[in-house]
Amino acid sequence: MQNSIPPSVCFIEDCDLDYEMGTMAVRMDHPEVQILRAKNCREGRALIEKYLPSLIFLDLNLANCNGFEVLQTLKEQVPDILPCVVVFSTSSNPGDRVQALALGASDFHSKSADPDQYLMTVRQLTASFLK
Amino acid sequence: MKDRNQQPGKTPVDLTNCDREPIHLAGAVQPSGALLAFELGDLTLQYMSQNIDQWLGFTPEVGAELDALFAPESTAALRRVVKGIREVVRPLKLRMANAADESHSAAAHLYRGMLLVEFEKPELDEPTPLAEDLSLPLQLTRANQRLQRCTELEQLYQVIADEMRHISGFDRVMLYRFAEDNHGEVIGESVVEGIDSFLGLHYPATDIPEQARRLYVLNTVRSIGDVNATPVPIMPACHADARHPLDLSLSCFRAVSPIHIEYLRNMGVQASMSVSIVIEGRLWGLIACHHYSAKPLRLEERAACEIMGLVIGNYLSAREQSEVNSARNRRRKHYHKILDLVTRTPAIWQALDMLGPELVKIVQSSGVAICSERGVQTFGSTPTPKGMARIIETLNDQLNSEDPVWSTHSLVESVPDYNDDSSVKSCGCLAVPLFAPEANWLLFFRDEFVSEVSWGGNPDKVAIETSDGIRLSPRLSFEEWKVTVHNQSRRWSQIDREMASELRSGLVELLSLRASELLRVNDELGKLNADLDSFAYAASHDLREPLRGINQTVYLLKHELGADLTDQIGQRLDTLGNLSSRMDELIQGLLKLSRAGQGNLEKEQVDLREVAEEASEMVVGRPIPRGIDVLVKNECTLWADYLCLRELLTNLIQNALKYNESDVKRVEIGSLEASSPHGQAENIYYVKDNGIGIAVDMVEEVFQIFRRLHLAEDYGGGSGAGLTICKKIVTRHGGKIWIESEPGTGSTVFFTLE
Repeated sequence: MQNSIPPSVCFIEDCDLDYEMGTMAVRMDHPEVQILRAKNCREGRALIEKYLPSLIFLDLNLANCNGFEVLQTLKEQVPDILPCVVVFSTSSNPGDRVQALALGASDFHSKSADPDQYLMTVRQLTASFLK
Repeated sequence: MKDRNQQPGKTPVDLTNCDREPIHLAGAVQPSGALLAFELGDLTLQYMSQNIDQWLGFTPEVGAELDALFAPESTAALRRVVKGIREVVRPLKLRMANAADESHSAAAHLYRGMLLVEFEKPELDEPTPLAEDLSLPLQLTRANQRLQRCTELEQLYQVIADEMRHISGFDRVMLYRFAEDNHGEVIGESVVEGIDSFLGLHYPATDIPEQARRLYVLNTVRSIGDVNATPVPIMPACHADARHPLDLSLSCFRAVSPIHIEYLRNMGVQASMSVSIVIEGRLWGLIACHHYSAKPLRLEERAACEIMGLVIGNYLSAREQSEVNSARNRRRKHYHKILDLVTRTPAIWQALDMLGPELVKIVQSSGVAICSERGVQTFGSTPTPKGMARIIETLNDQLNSEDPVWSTHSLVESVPDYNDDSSVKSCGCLAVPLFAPEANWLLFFRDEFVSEVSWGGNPDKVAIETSDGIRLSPRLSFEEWKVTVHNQSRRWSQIDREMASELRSGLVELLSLRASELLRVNDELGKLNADLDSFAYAASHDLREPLRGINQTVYLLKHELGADLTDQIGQRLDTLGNLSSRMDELIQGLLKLSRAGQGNLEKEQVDLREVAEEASEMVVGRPIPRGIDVLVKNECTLWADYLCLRELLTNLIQNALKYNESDVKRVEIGSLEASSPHGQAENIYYVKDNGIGIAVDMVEEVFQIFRRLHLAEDYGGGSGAGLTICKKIVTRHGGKIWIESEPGTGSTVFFTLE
């Protein structure tokens, strides 16, 4: 799968600043990686099905939908991709974490308000998923 | 009886064997009377005592008709008896068919298909000089006046004995009361001068066998004119082993059991009479009369004594009922106070020191315990925890839904393997099952009551060995025999049990109502919490997102300015970033506080060591880094919500290490036992550190939200909500939290949970 298509990282993220910071973090160590972005759930599902990314950063609070719905659809339709999905949200609510992991997400991270910490989280996750 | 007892290994030999002797089928009468028994259908003669010729002048044939034996007016009187109420003995004057005008004093009654006619000896029928005194109305009026004048129960007992002796002329008249275990006590006595008193003596239950007690309810007056007189058999044979036994339950002259005759002879008594006192169908006691020479009872005297028995029964019943009523009224006042207190108390578990003094007055006791899933709370004198555990185990095994209130006056006898080695022994227990959310059992205890019981002879001596083998014999000596009784409390009275049942109904209803109200409020709170949760979530996301955006913008701006970034602009951007981070911390603190107040507490027994070690690991990781020492001092369990308790300890440990400049930062977590203001033992938990300490005037202010004693950037920052969260958790558990501190030496945070 990853032999025929170049590795890609997908952000399902409606906040431009978060996406910009995320892109910056990925490019620091992996300039070659294809970066995809969806701003809502429908676009996100389409991108995932098309590219089967190596790593998907999934925001929970999206325009007109939420990340749990994406997880639910993936669980039903493309369950094999779930190990590549990391929920990356502003929420620090333990209930959200439990729900995301229960739906099959690989991990759950809160977006840090500290930009250095934010970049570090994205870089570490990218390194771990693309190795 | 003897044969039965000689079969080895079959029936244990004791006086309870007397319970099986068919005394109502004696088959004989005392010689002071004679008996004729007619079949009810055709009124033909079926049985007669062998001495009947002394009354009739001849012995009639079995099958003789009633009309043929008696004069017409007597026949008519007997026929009226046949049509009248059964099982009532009627005194009559009867004239025989062959007698001119001689009539006999007689009594007739119907029982089990037979008309039984009994005659008393003609010489007894002679008027006595006391006849006027014996006139029934006069006797009863006099007795009534005296009984009415009694103000105390003791005095009433004495007057009953005096009046009965006056009427009956017996040497000794005793008022004898049965206890719950059917043993009896002489509570009133009137005796001729020069004879020892039996007042206060106890007699074992076996002295009056079970079937005799049953007969006493049926036939309220029994008399034995002379224990040495030979009984006269009834023809044809009608004793217990005969083909057709004749039931003499209501007979006035029934011959007496040889064991009872022996018993009376051993006591030196030659004649006796007993009158039953029956209250609400239950044999309350007897008026027992002894005479030391032969004394056949005239039928008229018998009737007088019978009515006296009824009058006395009514007096005793009314007097006892009035005492019970006033005791019940006194106790009900405390009962209502309890219901009022419970209504105003959040949990009875927490309020035993307040409820206890009232509870022990409702059910008169020395101490009380409330048992629930979380443990046992006690008030007053109660058994050791080990003893209590055995009692509860036994109660759970023996639970009876018919009569849920359980009681014993001897825990050692009623609870297997029970052992109370405390200095003041609890020997009595009355258990009230509640099975309400707040309490499973309410247990009342009574201390040991060491009593000396004076028996009329050794009550244990029941069988003697003779050359024929073992035979039952009433004891030979009735000398006072004192026994000291240990391991028993005073017995629980009927009113104790009644009040316990009443208390149970009241409490169960109140606690259930409260539980359903609590459920409703919890439900409502749940909805409010859900709303609050949505709010908190929105706050966490919506407020923090722009803050993060500001930080990211500052970061990107610095990045994009590159070489154009001046020091001044750099400083301004740093300040912007710091303010934004601080705002984020505050929001996070508020979020945590809001979460600490949400959700239902799921309380359970929590091991202090386990939760403290987990909290410590969350703060410093594992293994504990060098320079940090976290010590859990005691082993104990707490009744708390595990996650809340862990959050509480996490905050306290974090503070203990954060505000600490020692080379080795030390945190000690433990518990100590103290006395509450009400004298109850209370567990206090603490987290002690060797940190910088807090000024005395600040130890309360630190619990206010965002109240910081240092600059935000000092000691690693933080939201300033940690101790407020701790206070919220402790308060939700019904406890208190406070700090004792010495600046420069360290602080100790103490807290209680309920």
